[in-house]
Amino acid sequence: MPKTAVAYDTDAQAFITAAVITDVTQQGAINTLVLDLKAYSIWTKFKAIYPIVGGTASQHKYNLKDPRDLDVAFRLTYGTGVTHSSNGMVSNGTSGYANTFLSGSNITLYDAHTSFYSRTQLLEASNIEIGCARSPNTNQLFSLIITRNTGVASACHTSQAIATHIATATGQTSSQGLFINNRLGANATDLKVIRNGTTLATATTNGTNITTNLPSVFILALNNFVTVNNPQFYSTKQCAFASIGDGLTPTEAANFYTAVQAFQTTLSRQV
Amino acid sequence: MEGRIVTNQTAEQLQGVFFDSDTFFNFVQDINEVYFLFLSSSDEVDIASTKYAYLLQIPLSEYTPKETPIIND
Repeated sequence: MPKTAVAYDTDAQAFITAAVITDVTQQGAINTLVLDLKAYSIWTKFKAIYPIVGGTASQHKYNLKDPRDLDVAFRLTYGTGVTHSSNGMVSNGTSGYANTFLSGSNITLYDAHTSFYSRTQLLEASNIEIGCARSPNTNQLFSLIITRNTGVASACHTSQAIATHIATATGQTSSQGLFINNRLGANATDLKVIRNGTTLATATTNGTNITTNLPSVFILALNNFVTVNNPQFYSTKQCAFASIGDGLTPTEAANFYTAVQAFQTTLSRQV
Repeated sequence: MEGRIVTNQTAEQLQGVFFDSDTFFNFVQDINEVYFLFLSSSDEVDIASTKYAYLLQIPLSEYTPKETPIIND
């Protein structure tokens, strides 16, 4: 009997082709991830999905939603100091970061999320895993902080003083898993920081939302834009997945985690 | 932490310049405003076949970072 070629979802196949993913297990994991996100009806909520699969910089850069090698497709470029492996990408904490080219003009007001899958248990002092800000940084901040050595994990989504609209979880001990900065609505309580599909904290005070002049979102650091892009607050957590998109309902966030964790498990890199 | 010290001229000329299709130079200054280049193992492999391979010959020196800026949790 002749072997039949495996037919993947067209979106999965486009990514597999662009990123030159030849490993059958990795191909299957990508296909299942796409199918799961579509089955949960959340595929269209993402503007950028970075599966960080393949093991090299040139494979990790592609956006699953638009796998073209272009800035307008939000594919990643890297500052020197990022190490790539089959488990993901990690910064040296000093100069390495990834630029998504996805900025405030691509983010929907009151309806946005970022996510970061951390494989590293490390409570750092001044890390921001994914986000952007516009100077002065107290006026524009869209950031996800994974558990620091203060026990704090937080999601900030504001154009006023930092503390005015932030979901802050205290007493946290884990820096591993899928963390989400999620806002879905104009009320204070619509901003949440989520880990592995469970809400860690909800904002209690509202603030004016982020605006469309936010600069490009960075991964593994914050883009603290002044007159040019300005990486700061580097994180040394190994990133095995990241995304940017619309806000998610609690059910969608839980389903999102289920899909991503299944993806990581297939790749034998789940935490 | 150790990195490669480069001249101000080199840093200013190469900052943001791509050495392959994916990765660009990101020099950082230490506490004394001296420019350092940090390369990951992935970067070293990728840069070795480029015209910037000479940078790999620079010996490693100890790096002392500037004070981290303050930002709330």
